[in-house]
Amino acid sequence: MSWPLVSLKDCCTVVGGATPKRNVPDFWSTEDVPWVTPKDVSNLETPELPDAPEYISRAGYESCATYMLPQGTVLLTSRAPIGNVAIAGRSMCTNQGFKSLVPGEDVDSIYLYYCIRHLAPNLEALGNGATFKEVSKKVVENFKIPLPPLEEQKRIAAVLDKADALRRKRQQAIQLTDTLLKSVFLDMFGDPVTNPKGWEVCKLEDVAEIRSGITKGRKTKDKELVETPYMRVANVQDGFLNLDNIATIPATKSEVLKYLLKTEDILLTEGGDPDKLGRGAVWNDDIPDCIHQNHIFCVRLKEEAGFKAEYVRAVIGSPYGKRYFLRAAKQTTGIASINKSQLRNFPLLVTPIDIQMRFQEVIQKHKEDLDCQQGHLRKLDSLFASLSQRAFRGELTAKDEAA
Amino acid sequence: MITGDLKNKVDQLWNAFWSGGVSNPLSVIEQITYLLFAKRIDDIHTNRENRANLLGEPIDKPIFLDGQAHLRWSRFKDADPEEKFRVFKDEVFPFIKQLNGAAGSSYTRFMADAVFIIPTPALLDKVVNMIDAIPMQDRDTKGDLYEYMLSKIATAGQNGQFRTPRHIIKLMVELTAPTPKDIIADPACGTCGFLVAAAEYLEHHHASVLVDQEENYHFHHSMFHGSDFDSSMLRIGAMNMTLHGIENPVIEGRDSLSEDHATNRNAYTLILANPPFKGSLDADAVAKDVLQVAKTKKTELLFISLFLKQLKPGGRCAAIVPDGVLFGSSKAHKDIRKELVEGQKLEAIISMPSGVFKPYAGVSTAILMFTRTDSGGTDDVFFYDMAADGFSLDDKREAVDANDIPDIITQYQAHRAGKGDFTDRTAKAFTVPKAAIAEQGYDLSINRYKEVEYEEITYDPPHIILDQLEALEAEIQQDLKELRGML
Repeated sequence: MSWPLVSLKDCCTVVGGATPKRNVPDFWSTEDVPWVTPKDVSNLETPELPDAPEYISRAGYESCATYMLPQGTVLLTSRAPIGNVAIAGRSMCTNQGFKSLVPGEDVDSIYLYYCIRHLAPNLEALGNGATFKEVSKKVVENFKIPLPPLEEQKRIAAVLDKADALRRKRQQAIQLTDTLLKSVFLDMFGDPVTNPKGWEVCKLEDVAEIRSGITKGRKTKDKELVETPYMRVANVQDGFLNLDNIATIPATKSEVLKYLLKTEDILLTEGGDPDKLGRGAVWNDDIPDCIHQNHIFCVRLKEEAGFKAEYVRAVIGSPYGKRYFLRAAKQTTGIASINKSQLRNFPLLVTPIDIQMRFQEVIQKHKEDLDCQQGHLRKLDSLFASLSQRAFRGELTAKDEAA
Repeated sequence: MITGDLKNKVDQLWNAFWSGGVSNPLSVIEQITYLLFAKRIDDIHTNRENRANLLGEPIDKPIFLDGQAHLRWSRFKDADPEEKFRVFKDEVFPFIKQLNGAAGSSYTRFMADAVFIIPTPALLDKVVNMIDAIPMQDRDTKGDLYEYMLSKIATAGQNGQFRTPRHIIKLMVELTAPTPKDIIADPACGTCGFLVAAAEYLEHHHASVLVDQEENYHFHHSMFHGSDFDSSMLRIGAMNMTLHGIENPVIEGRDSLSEDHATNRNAYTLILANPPFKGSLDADAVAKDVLQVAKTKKTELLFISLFLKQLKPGGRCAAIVPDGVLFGSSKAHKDIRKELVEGQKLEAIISMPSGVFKPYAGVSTAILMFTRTDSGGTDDVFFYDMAADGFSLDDKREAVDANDIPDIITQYQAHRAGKGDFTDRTAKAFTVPKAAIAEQGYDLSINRYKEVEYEEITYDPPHIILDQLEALEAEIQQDLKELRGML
């Protein structure tokens, strides 16, 4: 069974907002009234917005056409972008970027929240405007949502809330797992900047071969070219390789031999934005016969040197490494990049090989764990999508009854 | 800053020209400048008249002689458009062209090929009325007005021409502190911003330049030297100087780098400049002695060599250079830096944020300061990491509170006076001894010496994080069960 479709104006009150004049200091001088703008609801972790980051004064509130919205109102952005939602955790008012929904008696806030979130693409399609799209109050008022009885709404809201919370918890766990790795590193080796364990320092070039990669658009005399997969900056992320999109380049046989990647090679980007300095990952022979581009350095550790790739990568990618590169990097117009000689001179902390090996094991486990968790997150995402779809189609009940 | 009402007036002026058929921004500025000048000389004349009346003496240095009264702005501005057009075109304009003393004066030289191109009486009438309504008494307003008008030249940035922001110019003038004895030059003067600012500084700090006869003569005739190879710019620059009350500056049209003009060596005691960073260069024509310092085609390097040649021994220089000059790894780059550190006396590097030249360019630059000694003498080099210049660092360049400039001046003066402690390299201002610079291969970029205060990031120990993870994992399992129950 499907739920009756009801226009928002028939089940809610649609309320806009406004901004007090910015150039009147009085309107902004005191913090009387919580006041929300679309960016405040753009990346919320929870459905509820507990408080507004910005406040306006009572005089400011009186001066413009913004209205106090009761707690439980579904704040709905009507532009930049259309369709972001949050539930007001307290009474607050908004700027003109909202067409907020004050739920009527027979509408549940949380149900309304998930419902609008689910239908946001449809609402967005109704937007008009040249530079950026906006939906008018009228459009929002006439927008139809499926509206089951209140009890059913609450049930659906509880289910979706649970599924949504699950996703968030999984994301938290993934973040925590990342933190764990950093914590393990510090625990094993100490902070390289302060070097509390007093490790000696050697130059990277003393323990590794460093080379740059193949240049795109170079001239080759050799006629016989082979399309060869190669690693670009986009592939080399912080601590892992993103292999979703592999580009190929025609290369001669000798070039392929020259730039061929081997297991345990460390790939490093040459920089770009300052925060990309030292970004790199360890090659694990993920793709056979793969080479690398000239914007990627390949660091190959000498076998006898007594270093493990993951450890070296972690040091280079740590705040310690970034700090070194930031000082050595040539910075013009905000672009920071490193060259081979700076990389050669990288001061590497000499730590015992057995700790490094333990670290390498931890990394291995960590990667597996992360893969597993990310797979789980994707499943939870589809679970949530599936539940939403069924809930608003009215199938969640039907399935329940059949079961 | 030009804002609000005044800005609107200037914009309207611009629109009037535009709709009147004069669309090249440079021409518009030139035409406006002529008119501003016509108005200005009338004001000066009136002042002198008033003073003469007060003292009961004949007018000192009258601009308008008997029978020329109809050329005065205050007279012709109220005439009907046709008459105004005729008077301005046929009489006032030729009059302006030969004003300001002898034929050799810089001003008239560039005016010789000036052209009056306002096409119709109606447009002239409109423009005259608009200009009359703009308050031009205040010298600063005029400067800013100029700056605002100049900002409309859309071609800025070509051939490496970047208009230097006024506040940066002022900073450089403050740091070099010109004296009444200085001979000041800008070999890439453009609109003469540096020279004007130096003149203003002297008037403010050394009022004697206006009173002392000898100093005053030097001030008006031999103190300021500017050259540029863009004749339109020169005209505007010469006008700018004249509008700022400098009677006869030495403004010359020439390509400073070329062998043809290799005569002005050992000539100046202070060079203030923002030389072109790139742009075309006739490599064969570059003066031989300039190439001695470093063989290169890069104008930014050539200009530094040139400054060294043009300065008298003991002369000082403050120039804006792109960051590349400070760390570039070519031989020429290294040679120049080594020469500055070992052969001359490098004084200071003030690293500026990359937004300073916006919206023209996002290039990151620094102020390079040195003294020509020919015998070394570099000691502790002063570095400053300027993070804010009082304007937002985006294309809008709105005024903001954050501003390091006053601090730069204070700190540099303290450093010069041997006061204060500049050993903390995490501070904005610090000094680096010459030996440390030599050790870094004469790399002068501030990043090489600046130390970032390290904020240690602390994480919970691994076992605590593991506990948290396990708890979270258990919660997830529990939630999954509950969810199943709900369905």
